[in-house]
Amino acid sequence: MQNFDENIVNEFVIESKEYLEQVESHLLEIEKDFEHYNSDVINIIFRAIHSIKGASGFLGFTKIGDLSHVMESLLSSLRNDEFKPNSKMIEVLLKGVDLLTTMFDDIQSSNQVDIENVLKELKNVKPTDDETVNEINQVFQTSITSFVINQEILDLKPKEHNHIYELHYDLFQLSKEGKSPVKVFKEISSFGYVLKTKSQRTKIDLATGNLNTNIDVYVLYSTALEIDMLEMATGLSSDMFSEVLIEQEKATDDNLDASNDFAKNNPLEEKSQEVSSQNLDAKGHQDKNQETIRIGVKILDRLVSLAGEMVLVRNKYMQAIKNESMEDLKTLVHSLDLVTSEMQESIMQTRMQPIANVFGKLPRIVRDLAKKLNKEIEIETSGDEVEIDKSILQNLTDPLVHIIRNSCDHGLEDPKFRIDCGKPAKGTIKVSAAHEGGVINVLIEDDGRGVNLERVRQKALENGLKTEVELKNMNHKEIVNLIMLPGFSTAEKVSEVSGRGVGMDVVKTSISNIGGEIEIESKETIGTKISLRLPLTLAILPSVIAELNGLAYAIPQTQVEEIVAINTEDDNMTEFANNQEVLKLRESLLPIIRLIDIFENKEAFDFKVKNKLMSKNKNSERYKKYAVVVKVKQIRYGLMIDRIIGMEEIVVKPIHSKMNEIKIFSGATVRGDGKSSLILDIEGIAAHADLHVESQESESKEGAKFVNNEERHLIFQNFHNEYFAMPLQQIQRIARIEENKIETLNNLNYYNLDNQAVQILDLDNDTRSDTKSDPFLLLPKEEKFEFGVSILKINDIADIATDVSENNESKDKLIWKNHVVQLIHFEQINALHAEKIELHKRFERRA
Amino acid sequence: MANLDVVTQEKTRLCTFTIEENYYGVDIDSIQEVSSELVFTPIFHAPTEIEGFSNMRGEIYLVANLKAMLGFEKSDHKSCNRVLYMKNKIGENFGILVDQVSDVLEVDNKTLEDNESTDSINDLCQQVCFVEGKVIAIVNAKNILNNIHLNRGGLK
Repeated sequence: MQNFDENIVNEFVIESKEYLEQVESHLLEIEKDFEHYNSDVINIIFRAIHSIKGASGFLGFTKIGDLSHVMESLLSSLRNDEFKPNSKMIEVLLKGVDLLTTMFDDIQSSNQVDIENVLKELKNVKPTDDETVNEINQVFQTSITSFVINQEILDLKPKEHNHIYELHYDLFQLSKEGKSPVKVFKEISSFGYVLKTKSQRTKIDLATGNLNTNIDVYVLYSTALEIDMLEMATGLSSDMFSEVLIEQEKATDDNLDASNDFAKNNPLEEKSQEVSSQNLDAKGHQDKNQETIRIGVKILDRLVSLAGEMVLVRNKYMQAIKNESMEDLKTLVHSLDLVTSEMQESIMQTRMQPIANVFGKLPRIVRDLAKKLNKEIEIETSGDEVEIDKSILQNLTDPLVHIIRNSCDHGLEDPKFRIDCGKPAKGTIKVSAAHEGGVINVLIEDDGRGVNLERVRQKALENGLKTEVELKNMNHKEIVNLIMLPGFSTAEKVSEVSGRGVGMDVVKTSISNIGGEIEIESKETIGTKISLRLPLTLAILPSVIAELNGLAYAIPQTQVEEIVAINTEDDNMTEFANNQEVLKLRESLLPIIRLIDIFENKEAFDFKVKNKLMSKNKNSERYKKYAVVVKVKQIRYGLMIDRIIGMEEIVVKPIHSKMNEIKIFSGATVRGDGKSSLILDIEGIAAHADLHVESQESESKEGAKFVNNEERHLIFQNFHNEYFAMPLQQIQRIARIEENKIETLNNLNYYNLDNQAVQILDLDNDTRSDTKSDPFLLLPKEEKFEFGVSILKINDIADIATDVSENNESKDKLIWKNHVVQLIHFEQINALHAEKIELHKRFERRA
Repeated sequence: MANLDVVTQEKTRLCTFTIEENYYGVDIDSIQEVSSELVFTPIFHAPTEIEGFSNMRGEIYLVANLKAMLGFEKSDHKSCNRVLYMKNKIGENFGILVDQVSDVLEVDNKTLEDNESTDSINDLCQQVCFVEGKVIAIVNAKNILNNIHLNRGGLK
């Protein structure tokens, strides 16, 4: 455990991670073209690794030091054009970068990380024969130094550096002088070259917990300067240096590379897995003390000047109050408004990060995947400069990587196959980001094989996610988007890369968790396009502000589909289906909830509550002015409120933890008038109201949402102009009868149809109203029903899907050409009829 | 510094207030601010003793009606009513609504006695003291939040 000032370590970690990111992208750049890469690139990589090596030595992270040292020496050979880089070298270097990143993720346990395998690979990748390897590892006898100096180290030394010094100083002393190790390192690096560093510390006195003991650091340093010059240049006192004299006799080193053989016998793949598993382990306990953010100096300057301006306004304000000058106050309010809004804007900017931070990771992922899958893949990113809130960015990485993986694995075809299809062998993935009207659109396109619709259909059937009828009703796009349902994976084989069954649904969930939306478009054999719509920031939520009983409530705008004004003159706009109030909204029925009912009933709705509410609401137009059509996950309903105040961007505050159990509110906010308002939890309200999830394809399909099986229905009206639908299969015959030939016997109506007495039933209890036209008689197919049903008018024959089993409140209601239609069977009519006869009999007995 | 420490150890400064003519006191060290603003955003489904949310300098505070918590009938707000907002160290952003705020008294910790009455339904007032012939029940601010239970009562 290191006990240095945490800030220094943190600084080192952050800086090093930045270096590593650079290194990675530059390595990939080299890999693109081994022949014509820019030699500056090698230099940049070299310097980055070198800096990491130096600083890690100061801070006592020996494993990081060792690893970066070996990487550095490989890079040094590359820099000196000793040999050309090849893909294997890049591969190994990348592995080194990965391992370093892992160690930086959990810097305190970095010294426990096993780096041996990667070290061996790094050492072996040099195109040298065994002899030179031996040479490198031979140890020189040296004077007065604790460092082991071998050829490898001497190779690092630039030729013009004639002197090697060992620097020795005390970190604790340094920090007293206000110098950080990183600073010192930078200072001495400008005059020479740090070959190696190490640190040594005296034991901590546990009794006192006092750390104010020496922390000795040794630096092996090469330079062209004489010792007195060095003293002047670095400002360090001369007793901190001692020159190391190297005897040119070679000593032998016994424990030479038996390890080389070991490494050679092990294929690369195995190790890469080890590295990745180490990666995973480290992730568990990282990020504890690294919640920092980098802000451009420009923004900071702006904030400072705005703060100054604000103070100025305050002073003027106080002056104006003193003078009781109303005029001044008015102008001041204006400038205050200006300053605060500018300030808010700038502060929000500090949270904004370029999306490049995520995009930058993609090329490496694609490269590795392409190798693993034996495909040729190119990734193009654009819109890197688009800025997005830090918290959203953090949560964007995983879903984005998942999508890219899918594209590489399932989307893009093998090169051979691609050529056969007339496509270029190299597949392309384009990732772009753009800012559009308050949202960020991220597009991921590939030119792969696209989504196989037929397979999606089959899979949906197999897994019981959709029925055939449902599928028939879905359009192309809807079917493609089925792949985001939970439990969906069309990959034929489960590969290491993707296809474990937890697929796009996870992506969808994580995207919607950050308030975004996802949509997939795909053309078979041409490619797939996935678009993400992300909010700019989480802290500020665009919301619809609705009013109920004089209080304002916020509904997140992303959950609002539309707002419908209820025409109270039109009685038919809302009705009750069972005990659920529904709104007729273009060709479909939408369950509605009066918000007031939610508020007034603390207990979750059940059958009783619903019935009570129905009797209360049936003829009440109160609290039924506007329906905010909301949709969250798969629940869609209308929320009835008094008035819409407007759209506002609200600052979300968490709800008090004591009130967490109240599920109908998701948060609170302070609005412009200084009052606090609550944010409605659309999902929680639906749960409270016992609303059920409707099947997904619901929208715009006539009646389809209630049902699975399509059946041909006769649609007709009874004598009260109510609409009914009856399965055509149950009807044997429809006969026109003459109203005046209906005869009444024992209070029952009969008709002579083809010399048979047929009892006539009506579909309502009341006496029929006067009609001008003759009625129709529906005769049932099944003989057990000894009656016919008289109806006024036949409207249509339509294909209607019915499914009684579906747990939907309005399962026996549907919409047909803007009318609410009641589904009816002879069975029900018979039951009604039997009841009637029973009643009649009882009545007679009593009489 | 040392001197102050001794004072807080031996004596407690109480912000006293009344509820239904009874005297109560809260350690003044736990109070952040006393406010006369009595506009609260009702929280439906919250227990009766919750008045609602209020905005105190841009932060949302939960305001509890101490009267209701002590078992009295709730009454309409009067202009003399006050909200005592507690410091964050006492508990997550909350305040209590009381009938009327009166003096700040300094009491010797030795004079504090345990509250013997058993009728109190909760552990809000564990100690009492006698000052100037008045009985002052000392409200333990740290216990207030714990005494709010969601599943009791309901806002009508």
